[in-house]
Formats: sequence, C-alpha cells, structure tokens
Amino acid sequence: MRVRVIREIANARTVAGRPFARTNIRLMVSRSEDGDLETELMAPTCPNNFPEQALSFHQAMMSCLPVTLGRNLNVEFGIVQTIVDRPNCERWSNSERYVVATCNGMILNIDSPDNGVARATQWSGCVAPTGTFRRLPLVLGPSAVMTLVSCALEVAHDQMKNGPFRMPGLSVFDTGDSPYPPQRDPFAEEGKVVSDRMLVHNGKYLARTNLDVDTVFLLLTRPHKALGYISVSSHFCQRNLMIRCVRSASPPEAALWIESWQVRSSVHRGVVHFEAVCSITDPRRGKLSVDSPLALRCDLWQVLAAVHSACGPCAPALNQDPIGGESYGLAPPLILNLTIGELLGS
Amino acid sequence: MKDTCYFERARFMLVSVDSMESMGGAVNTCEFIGGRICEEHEASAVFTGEPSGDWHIDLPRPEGLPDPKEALCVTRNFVAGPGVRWSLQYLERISARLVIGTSLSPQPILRRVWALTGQIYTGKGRVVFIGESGRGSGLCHLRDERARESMSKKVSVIDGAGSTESGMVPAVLASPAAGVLVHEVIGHFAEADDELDLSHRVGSRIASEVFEVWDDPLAEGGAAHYAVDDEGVAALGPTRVARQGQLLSLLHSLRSAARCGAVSTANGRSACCWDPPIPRVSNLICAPGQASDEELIDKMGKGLYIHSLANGFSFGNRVEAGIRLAEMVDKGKRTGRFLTGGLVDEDRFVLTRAPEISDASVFHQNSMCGKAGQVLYDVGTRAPAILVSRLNIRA
Repeated sequence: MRVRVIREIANARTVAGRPFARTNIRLMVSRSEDGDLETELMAPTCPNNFPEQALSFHQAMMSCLPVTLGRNLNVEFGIVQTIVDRPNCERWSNSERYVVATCNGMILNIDSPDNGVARATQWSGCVAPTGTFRRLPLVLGPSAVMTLVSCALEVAHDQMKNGPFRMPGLSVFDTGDSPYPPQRDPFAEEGKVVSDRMLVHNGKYLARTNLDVDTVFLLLTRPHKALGYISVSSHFCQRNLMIRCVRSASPPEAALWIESWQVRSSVHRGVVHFEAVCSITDPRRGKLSVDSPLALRCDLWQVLAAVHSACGPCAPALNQDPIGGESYGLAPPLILNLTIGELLGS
Repeated sequence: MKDTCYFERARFMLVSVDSMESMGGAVNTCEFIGGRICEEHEASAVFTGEPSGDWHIDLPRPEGLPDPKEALCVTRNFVAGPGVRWSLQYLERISARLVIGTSLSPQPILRRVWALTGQIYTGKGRVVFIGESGRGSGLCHLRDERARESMSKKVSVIDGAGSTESGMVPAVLASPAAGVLVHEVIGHFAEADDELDLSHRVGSRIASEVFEVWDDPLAEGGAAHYAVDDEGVAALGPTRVARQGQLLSLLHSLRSAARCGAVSTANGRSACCWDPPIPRVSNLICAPGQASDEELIDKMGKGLYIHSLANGFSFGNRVEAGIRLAEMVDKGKRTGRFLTGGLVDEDRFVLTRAPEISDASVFHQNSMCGKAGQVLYDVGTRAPAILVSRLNIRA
C-alpha cells in the first residue's frame, strides 16, 4: 500500500527587474511500505497567469524602496496545490496562493496576495559606508541570523561528537513548517503530525541523531534541487529552521544592521567569508540602506557567543546557500555584544 | 521571436545506506521529464511533463539504469569497512536532452553519470567526506575490492593522523590534490562569465611557465565526454587554456561568447534542463613535466606531501581547499607521519610559485563541481603532482 503525494507549483518571478521566470511543475511522489520512493513528473494542470500580478506587485514595492534596493527587488507570485492519497483514507487537498518580495537576501513581504499590496518598507534612504559604522552596536536581521545558524549547524552536523558547539541563548528547531508555502511539508499541512525536532536547546547543540536526508520532504519542497543534485546530502539533512532567543531587549536607536550575508567560502572550518548587506538605524533619519556590501571574515562561534538578546519578534527569514539554494524559516533579529569594528579586527 | 528550448528525459536512482542501520538502506527512483523555454528577451519558463505536441518531439526514454535492488546490494557491501559509521549515497542518473534553437539539426545529447557521496565517521571522532563521481555507471567501481580497500585504508590513516599546523610551508601536491587546486585556480579563472566581459584576463599569468593546459570534452578517460555541449554547440576540439602559464583563451558558452565578441568553445553546461547553461570546464588537462613524484619530494627537502584535498572553493582572488590527508617530508623523504584537517588558504597566484611538475598527469574520481549552485558530476581534471615553493596552510 502506498502513500501518494501530488504537488503542483505555478509561479512567476521577476528577478531584479528582468523579464519573468515562470515555473509550472507537477510531480507525484509515492512511498511504499518499505520506504522506497518513486517520483514521476507530469504535465501541469494549473494555468500560469501570474506574470501580470507579479509585475503590479513589483511596481508597488518599487515605489516604497530606495533606488539602490529597488534595483535588486525580486517578486514571486504563485500558487501551490497539494493532494495526498493514503490507503483507506479520503483524499486530502489544499491550494494556496502566495506572494514573496525579497531584496538582497532580505524578505520584504511574504503573504497571501489576498491581504493587499505591499506594506511600506522600513528604509528612508541610502548611505555610503563610513568609519563611524565601526563603533555602532551590531544587530543581525532575521535572514542574517538564519544564515549564521545554518552555517553553524552545517559545521556541527559534520562532526561526530557534539563538540564545543554553543549558541548561547538560542533554541533551534527543524520543522516542516515554513513561511514560504512551496517549502511547507505537505504532511504537516494535511494535519498529520510531523514533529519538530530540536537541534539546539537553550544554546546546547544536540547531536545529529536521526538527522538524515528526508528525501520525500526534499522532493516536495525543493524539487528543483532534489531532482538535480539530490546526492549532495550534507546540505539537505534538515528541513526548515525556526530559531528562538530566550532573551529579549529593545533595539538600539543607533545601530548597524547586517540584514543578510552571503557565504563566499566553505564553512567547514567555522571561519567564513561573508558578503554582508547592511543598514544603519539613526534616531533622526530612521533606517538607511548601506549602498555597498561589506566583506567580512568571521568565526561563526565567536559571533554566536556574542549574542546578547533578540530585539524583535520572530520574522520570516531567508538563507541563500551556494549549493542548497533558498531556504525560508523564522528567526528573530539579534543584538550582538560586538561591533563591526571588533568583528573586522578579529 | 527566437526561442531556445531545452528538453530532458532522465531517470535516476539514489541509494542510501548507513552502516548503523539494520534496515539495509533505501532506494529512491525518479522519472524526470521536463524542459525550459528561454525567450529571446530573456524571459524563461520551466515546466514538467512532455513537450507540447506542436513541437513533434519524441525524446527517447534513456535505458540501462541498473536494477535498484542490485545497486542497493552493491552499495551495502561497499560500506562494510572499518570506521564507526559509514553513511553513503550512491546516485546514478541517465538522461537524454534536446536543445532546439541553437543548431540546424538538433540531436539528443545522452549522458550517464554517477556519484558516491556521504561521510565516514572514524573511531576517533573524525569525519571523512566522500565525494567521488564520474561518467557511466559507478557500480563497477563499488564492486572493485581494491576501491573499497583503498578507501578503508585512507580512513584508517586519517583516523590516526595528527593535526596540521598553520604556516607557510613548501609542499608537493600529489596528483589528486593537484587536480583540486588546478580546477579551482586555472579552471574557474578560465571560465568566462555570462554577465561580465572577462576578456581582459587573456594574457594574464595564472601559473608558472611549466603549465600547459587544455580543456577537452572528449579527452580519453575524462569524466566529461560530449561531442555537443548542453546548448547544442558542437565541440570542435580541445581549447588551449594556458601556454607557459599564461591564460590563452576563455571557456565560453553562447551567451558569454556573445558578450565578449567571441565564439562558444562548447563549454555551456548545466546540471539539469531547468538550469541555464553557463561556462564550465569539461576536462581540464594539464600536461606532464619531467620529474617523478619522488624527485619533486627530494627537491623540496622538508615540507608537506599533500595526498588529498577536498571541498575546493574559489571566490574572487581567494582559493581554498580542505586538507584531507598530508604527510610530513624530511630530508627529501616521506616520513609516514600523517596529518589531517586545516585548509590550503591561498590566492589565485599560488601556482605561479610552482617551479616543477611531475611526469604523470592522471584523472581521478573527484569530478564534482557545484559552481553557481549547479552540481555537475562529470567535470574532469588531469593533473600531475606539483611542487609549490610556499603554500599557506591554515589549521
């Protein structure tokens, strides 16, 4: 007897103002009782009439972003449909429309399109990087937190023993849920319990027990990666991440925010080269986008040890892995007991 | 309007085996059919299913994928080696692709690749990353008792090895390790870019005068083997990449060539029909020198003999690779004192400090490359051992 899941994704994405990239994929994954899987790709049934909607959303978002950010705005508008057939059970199906706006690795908006047009963005303008940044308190935005923790987990998962992997104040869960509908576990959506797994409990890394490649999850939530590169398993030994911080504080009035950072080296040694997209907050001028990325080399564990507290609620976050691609999750912004000057000097 | 259409029909299987699990492993099989249409103004559409009937395309279903149960059995036998835990995945993928819009008479492009990936955990808590891949089926490799013994031996040596120390040291890179560095330093630097005109690189020094380098998609024994690249462009022969250590030509896709006012060198490659082909190495061939490995070690006197590197990475001017296994050299002889861990942390000029290379240039089964998130399992490198006067090691 087999469990069979059909998932169809149709979307249109504007990438930095370029013409649309449309996706129409439909796949069926069947799992036998002994765990073997069969995957079949089929002709999609859902019409892709999303380019116009994506374009109008893109234009609405552009009008409330500083020019330098607007150039890198991506908008994806689409629908995910899921059908689950179980032996001796009624067929379960679900359909969800969504819209996502991202820019330089930050999530600006992720919602149902029924909830209206883009919300106003936070930036009032742009600023060039200056030396004064070095002394400002440092805050990691949700996407930067997601990338930092993902890299740290990659290092930790690759060790056999738990080792000295500490993330003080943080708890990290591996979950089937996601703010991005195409990456939601269909079994969790169906209401069948797919339990969250705790990877880090109050700062302590728990061993990589039973953290193996969940191929069904991978196929259904990241079909492009799964069908192309499925054997690169070390990148896919977990599902989506939800990060929490036990301590909280108000955000500093003046601070340098690392909104997101892209990995520019291997992470295996724990010392990673990043290219960081930053903003500064200023009591008088609000939030300003720093108009060029900063190159940083830092020790993941040093940064994690410097986490002071969360300075806001958990928010949708995006990790852009060089191999694993885009992964969405939830993370709070974190204040660090470090300045960028100390980070650069270390 | 001129569209380019990429269609692919593929079948693959992934076998996962873990020596800690009594269940015996799992098999995942997939039938892939889909495509990507790229319009002239750069809009694109990715889809699954058969191409529209209007195209009159009948892509053959690729045949010859081994019986999954047999593959599971062979992989399971392979993991029965020393070490606390072997967690490996065997992938085999066969595909037929068709590109319409770039040539007058499109022909199906057939490809068959395999990969063995995963980790082996040693008794002392070390993790040995496995990343072997190549063309054809890998089951014969897994059946070869010598391959299993060789891997087992390597794992045992790594388990007992000391840790590397930071510093700038003379080194001889054995052929497999040299292949990683040549791929990162010369291969990626020679790849053109779809967005930027990199023709100013031609003529620049990328290695010492002893380096003569070609890219050849039909090189005998190479992991890559194609007469037509993933854009439907026929390979006219090897492309000479470097002469006496200077970059002679870039490796182009159609798009990068158009940007530079050049012609494609049939290096447009993609992992799957859903990915845009980008300039990628096929088989990078580094001509051999005159000396034997032992003579290079003797000339070095004192330093490191690096047997194996892993996880090569290059970005901008930086190049790095993890040291899987190295051996200390003293008085011109290998000492049997092994080291592991740490990185070769270098810039892209590292091979300009390589005065001599060995007389044996061979291919190895480290043919995986994940440039731009597109993992190819058939990127070959044939390199001799390389003497490097100073190599920066970061512990």
